[in-house]
Amino acid sequence: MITQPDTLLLASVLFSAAVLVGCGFMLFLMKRRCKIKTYASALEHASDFIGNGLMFFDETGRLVSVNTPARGFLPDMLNSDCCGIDRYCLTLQDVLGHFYDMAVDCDQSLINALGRSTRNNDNIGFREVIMASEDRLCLVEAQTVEGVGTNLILIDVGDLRNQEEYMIKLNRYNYELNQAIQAATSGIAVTKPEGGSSKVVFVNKAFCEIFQVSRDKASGQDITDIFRRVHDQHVLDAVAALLAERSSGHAELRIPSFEGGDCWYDLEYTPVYGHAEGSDLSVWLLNDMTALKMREAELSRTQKLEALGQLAAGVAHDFNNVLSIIDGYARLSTKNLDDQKQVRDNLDRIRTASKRGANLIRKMLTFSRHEIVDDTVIDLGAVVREQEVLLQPLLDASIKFNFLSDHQPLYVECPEDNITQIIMNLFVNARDAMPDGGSLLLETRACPQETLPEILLKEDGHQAYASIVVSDTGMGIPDDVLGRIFDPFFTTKQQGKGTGLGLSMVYGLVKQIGGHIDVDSQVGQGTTMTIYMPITDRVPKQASGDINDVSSIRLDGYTVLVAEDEPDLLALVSDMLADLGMNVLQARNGNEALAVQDEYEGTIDLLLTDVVMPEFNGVELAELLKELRPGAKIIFMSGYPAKGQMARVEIPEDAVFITKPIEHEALIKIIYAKLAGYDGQDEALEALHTARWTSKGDIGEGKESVQ
Amino acid sequence: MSIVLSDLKILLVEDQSEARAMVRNMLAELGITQIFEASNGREALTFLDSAYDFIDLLVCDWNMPGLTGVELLRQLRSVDPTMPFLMVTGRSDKESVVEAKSAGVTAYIAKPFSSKELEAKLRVILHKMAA
Repeated sequence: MITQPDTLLLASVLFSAAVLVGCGFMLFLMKRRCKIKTYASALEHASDFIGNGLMFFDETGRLVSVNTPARGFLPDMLNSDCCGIDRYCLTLQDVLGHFYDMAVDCDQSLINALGRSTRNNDNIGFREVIMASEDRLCLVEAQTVEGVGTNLILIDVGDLRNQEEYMIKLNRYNYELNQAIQAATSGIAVTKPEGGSSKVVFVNKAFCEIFQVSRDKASGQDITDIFRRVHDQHVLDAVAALLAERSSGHAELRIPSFEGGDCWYDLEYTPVYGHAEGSDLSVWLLNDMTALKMREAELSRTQKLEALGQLAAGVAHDFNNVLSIIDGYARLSTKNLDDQKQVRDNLDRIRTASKRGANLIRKMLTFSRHEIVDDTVIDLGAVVREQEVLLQPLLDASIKFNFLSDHQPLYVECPEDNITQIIMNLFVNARDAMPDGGSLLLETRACPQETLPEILLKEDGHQAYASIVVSDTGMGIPDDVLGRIFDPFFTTKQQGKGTGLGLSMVYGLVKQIGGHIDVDSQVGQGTTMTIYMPITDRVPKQASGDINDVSSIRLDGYTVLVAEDEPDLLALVSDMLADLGMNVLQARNGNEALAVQDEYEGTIDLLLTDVVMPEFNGVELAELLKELRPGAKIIFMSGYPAKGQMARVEIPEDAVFITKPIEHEALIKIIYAKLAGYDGQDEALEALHTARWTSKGDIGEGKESVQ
Repeated sequence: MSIVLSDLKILLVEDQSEARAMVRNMLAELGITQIFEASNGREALTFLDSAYDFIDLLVCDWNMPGLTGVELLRQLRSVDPTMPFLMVTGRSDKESVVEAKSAGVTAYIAKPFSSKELEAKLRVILHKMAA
């Protein structure tokens, strides 16, 4: 039996239990929901670290999740402020609409997606670049997972834009750089080494203009081929030298301008070595130096003109002499044209005067410094002794002249003319240094080794020297002038009195023979000039012996040119003459004889030539040689009878012949007579008659043979 | 192959017309009739370009405006190392001779010269041509 209160109690207990169970279940559900929310939020947080923006919309198109990067992209839209209390009140359609507004270049896929998004559960998929906040570019990708919802991924593609901007900037920079390089007045080329050559990878406009080549044509060409366009070996050599060096360098180039004239360039070559293989480059820079060169040349021309002015004053006198001789004889000839002999004589005189003028010019141009050294051996003492007679009249009575000379021979290798020139210059200077009189000493002597200046001892301690000393008691040379006395055109003399070339010439001549000049001067006391000249072992040309005793005859130091087309005879005669101590030059025909004498720099004393030779005969050869080397004596050899082939040859009247077969004794006698200057003298004539010789009109019969 | 002096075919390069006429007369005196003339280096090059085979040798002045004798010689030598070349010059100093020789000159004649000297030089060249 259950009572009312019991029933009430039971009911309340049951109710309480039910409430408890209900509450518990609710609590469980709530807990579970909380957990899910926590997971979702954790997930949302985790996705923050991805970097890309993520947005998730459920099946109904309601935004359920958005991470921080996504909010960063779309701050205006996703900030809770704009969405009211609930930030998730946004729908997919709102967002897509927003994208549509922001799309950089909207394509159909977004428009389609926008249309579909109004219908729930429709699959939308698109890719679109939109302009996100702060002008950042953002790639949006949409994916719908059926029955779950739609994911939007927002990727920052600002870098791409930066890259694009960078490219634009780079292009602009390149463009400006290119403009600048193309506008540069210097020629610029860049090459790349490729299999031994240097291929052009870049050239500017100026470079193309210098070489008259188009840019397209130049590109890919070997740089040497471009330099070759100017046809100048010097340029190619310079380029090759630069290429051979692995370091930078420069060269001065003279490049003929295509418009005519020459241009000077400074070529600068700089190899640039890259880190990677094949990345080496070379830069070629051509700077136009023409203007600078012209200014330099102008300056030097001005100086030269100034010097020439001084010189002109000095040589005008000499030149006028020459011209008046030419003029005078020309007038005389015009007047007496009928007198052929006189006209011929006058013309000869004119020629001699012209030669003198030419010599004057030659000396003026070269300062006699570079002329090829004549290897003549002379006795210095003897030559100076001969000069003494010429020097004396140059002095007036107020100057006391002394000449001292050793009588032992002093052999030096120097043309006599040069000695004359040296002495004359020193002598005149010494005289001019003593306007009020004094004493002048000229001396030649062998120098004891201990008296030689150090500079000569250093060169070769064993070389012996002879010296010419010219000493005066004049005004002396001040220290500030002493250093310049050998400079060309330097003079302290009045205008018109001196050219300033004298001592410069002396200096040149002395250097040419390996000598040295010593100057000792004291102001108020006088000057002593000492010229040291190396003594040679060679003996001067010397003809010795008795003409009647052939075995005693020697012709040491003489040079003979033998022209003979018969090889055996050439060899025989050459041997014979070499035996006499002669220096023998051989030639097998006339042309060769001319070539041999052209090469030979020394003196040729004698031409011994066959008369009849192929192409170019001996008489013609002799005629030319007389012109080229007027000092050479000439002797003909011939085996042809008078009326044979000889008849065709016009023989000079004063010619000396020896008939073939050649007789040893006769040949030696004739040569000796010629060289020793016997011809024309009674004694010589007799000697020559004993030899088998003949002159024109009396050519001996004879067969060509070798005895 | 030997050539006779009078058969030589010569290109005369000289910028001064008087000097050119003088050398031409000298050559004519030597019996040479085939004389071609150029008044500067470029003209000579143009001539050689088209009529190279007509010429046995060049007689050329050193000092000319534009292309000098030595430059002409160098250009000639880059294509023909043997064509005889007689350099006419007022310089007889050693440096000039050395420069001309290094450029490949066959012979060298210093102004002023006579027709005999010119003949001698031409014969030197003939000898070298025959060798």
